Amino acid sequence: MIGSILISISILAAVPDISPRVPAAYEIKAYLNDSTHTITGTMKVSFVNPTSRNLDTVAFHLYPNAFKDTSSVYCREDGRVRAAVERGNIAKVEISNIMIGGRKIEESGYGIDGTRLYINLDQSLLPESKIDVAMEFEILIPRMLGHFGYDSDGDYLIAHCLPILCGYQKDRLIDWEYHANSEFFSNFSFYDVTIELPEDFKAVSTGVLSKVSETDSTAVWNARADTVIDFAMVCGADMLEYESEFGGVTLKYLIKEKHRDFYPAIDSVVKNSLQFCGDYLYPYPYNTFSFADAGFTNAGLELPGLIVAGFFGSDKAFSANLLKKTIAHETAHQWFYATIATNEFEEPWLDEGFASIIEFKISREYGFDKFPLLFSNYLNSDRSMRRLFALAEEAKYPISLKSWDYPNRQSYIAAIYGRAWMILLALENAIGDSTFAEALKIFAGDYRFRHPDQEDFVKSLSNSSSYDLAEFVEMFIDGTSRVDYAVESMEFEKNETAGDSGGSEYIVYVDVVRKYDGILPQVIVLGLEDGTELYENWDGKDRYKRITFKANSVPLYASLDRKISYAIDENRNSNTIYRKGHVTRMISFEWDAIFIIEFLASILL
Amino acid sequence: MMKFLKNRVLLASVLFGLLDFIQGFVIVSPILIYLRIIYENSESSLHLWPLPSLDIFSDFMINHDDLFIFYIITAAVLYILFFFVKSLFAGGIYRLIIFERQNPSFIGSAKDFLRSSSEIWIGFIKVGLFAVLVYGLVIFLGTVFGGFFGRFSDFLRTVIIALFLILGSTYLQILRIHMASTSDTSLRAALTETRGKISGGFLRILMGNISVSVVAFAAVFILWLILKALKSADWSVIIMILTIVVQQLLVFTVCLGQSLRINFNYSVIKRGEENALGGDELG
Repeated sequence: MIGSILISISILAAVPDISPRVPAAYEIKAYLNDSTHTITGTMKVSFVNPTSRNLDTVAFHLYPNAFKDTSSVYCREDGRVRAAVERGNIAKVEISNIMIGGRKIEESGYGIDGTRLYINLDQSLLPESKIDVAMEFEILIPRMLGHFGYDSDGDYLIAHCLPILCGYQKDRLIDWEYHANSEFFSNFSFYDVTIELPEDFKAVSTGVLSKVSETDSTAVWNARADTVIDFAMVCGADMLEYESEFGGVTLKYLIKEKHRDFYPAIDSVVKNSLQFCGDYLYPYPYNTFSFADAGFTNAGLELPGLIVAGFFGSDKAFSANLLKKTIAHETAHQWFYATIATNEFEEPWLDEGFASIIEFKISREYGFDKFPLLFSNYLNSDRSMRRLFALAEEAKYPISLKSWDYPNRQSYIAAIYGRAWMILLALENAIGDSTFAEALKIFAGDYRFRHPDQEDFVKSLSNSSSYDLAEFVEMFIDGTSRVDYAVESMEFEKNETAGDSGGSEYIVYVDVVRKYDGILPQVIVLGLEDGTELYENWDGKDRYKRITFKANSVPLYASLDRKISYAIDENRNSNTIYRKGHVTRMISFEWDAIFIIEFLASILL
Repeated sequence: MMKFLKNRVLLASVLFGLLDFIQGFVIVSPILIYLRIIYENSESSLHLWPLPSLDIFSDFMINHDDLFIFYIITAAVLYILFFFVKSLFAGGIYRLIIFERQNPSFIGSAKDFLRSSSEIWIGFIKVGLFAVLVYGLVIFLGTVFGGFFGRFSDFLRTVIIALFLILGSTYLQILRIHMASTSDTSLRAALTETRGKISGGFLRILMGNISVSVVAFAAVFILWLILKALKSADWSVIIMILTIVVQQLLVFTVCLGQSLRINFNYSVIKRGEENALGGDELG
């Protein structure tokens, strides 16, 4: 697609009611040149000081500068991006004509530091006072780098690239550099963006998007979004548009022609995810939700009111399930990120951990959590793969680190997507499913359209549960505790006095051990030959504990309760002990093992 | 049954299968002993069918990674040691296939078999080592040509690679046949003396080996489908027994294919006639 794209501004008829809760309103005008892959334009933002102190500067993110040259923090942290930048695939944003309250700011009045722009204020901005900032910008868009760019089909993902204000959390300016592992943080704002795209372009975006006018070669689109933490858009010519509706929410889909067969599955999983999260937390708060296919492979990206997911390019159950899981995950981010807007820079586990646990709940609820491999009854889940990936890291790093404090991407993903998910599952198991769900609903309701941190979460959950969260947080969130409980032995003897008293016939001794430092409550189950089960609670604190059962029948097995099944327990093989071994099962497995070598040997004769 | 085993090719297939079974047993037994100890009384033993679940695999890799590495080394050592044993008995089996009853070198007893095997043991070891080079070369060529034709279809890529592997395997069989039939254990002599014979009947050798391989592949594929169906069922002792029988039939089918190829290749090279079935004992 060659040609220039005009993006024109529409002046707000009435400035939205900004306040410390929603402290900014943006009006944007820009030109996107499709042949040079640039967006040029102007932006005007009204900003209210949301803090309780005076501000002497206002700070903006200039994310594209992370890909300007290899000296950026991002490039230093990510070798693949660095190599791309070295090959000339660069991005940048240039700012000019900065004005405050209609008065132009000289170059000495502002400074650019990496991916941040700081504008000095002549007069301190008092709490709850308003200021108007305007600027012109030019953004060079790269071939898909980080979270934005254009893909091989020439379709654009415009995200994390507009020069928006750095956010404040609890009076603190969150103005970190753009790091390779970090994602995003900003305050809730109003956006009014009018975009002129080539006539054959289709688009979805944050907020309500509509086509305003058309010329011979271009079309003007307007997007308005209320109380969102960012504005993003996906557009391109090689796309098919679909529209659907769910509970009063307009669902818009932009899917590449080659992936059109996936639409019914995508629409279904989006609706299921919105339904699940709505019931589990609170109803989806915006009136539009968009899905875009933007050239990622097996990956997704959450944006306010808009999710992006990648394809494997196959409609087989395995790849379709992965796509569905990605959609479920990114949809869950519409709660934990987009509306419960935690700080992804400093506490990435808060949104990714919750999105992961909800993703797993959705996939289990709607039956795409298991993948048949090789044999129809050989069902494995990516829950197992995620557990392996997370446990293989051996809890080297706490999940509460800042995103860039992890030494590499693997450690970051293992901790934030894996260990955080296992820890939240453990917390759910420890305090009980219903209590956890209730507590999470209260937390979500209380912090909807706010910026909670770990402290808020812990405080909220503590109010909803009697479980000792302080110890849990110390061990698992701020600490690196590992978990391994085992049933060490099971012995029994006939109760000689039972005949006289008419009491239990057998006394069963079950020895359980805690092998690592992590402590989680356990339930010991004793299965009897007559089919009954006896239960005993254990707080899990002792290193060794002998539990005595009185039983009416010979014991069959002793087990740590399988209903709890802590994913974080590193050796679940030792969680059950049977009195009689499963010899024939083992023989069956042993023949299988021998057969594999035998068959290979016969071929290589 | 005895009549069945009187057929040289069938008997050789059974012996090849037995050798492979012993190899499989020897190589996996160290880890199986350990797995029996850790899984027999555990619930994990109920999740080993149809294959160990990923959680069991995860638990094993996380908690027994040292054991796993130790076992890999042990298995490699056992494989190398068994290579010598296999080379010894393979020589005897080759002679069992190629020498007919009227041949003075015909193997009529276990004693004959062992004596005959030991005569050419060293030659078979040489061919076994040479096989590393041959298979390396055919895999390289197969990948290169397969990569070229793979642009048209993945099936074609697979066929090309398989074709090169059959070529390599056939060449190694011919070298072993030469040693077994002449008692000359010199690899150099085998390489030079078989050259002319191969070029003389190259097309027939190629077509014959491909034909046998295609038939064997078809039989193996059918058995694989049966095995897959069995594995898709819930575990029971009967299903387990049927699975073991089908698995052994699979191995026997492959071994039968190998024996037929050996007999066919010998027929073409030495006798100049195509007698792949190994006599008329089956009636």
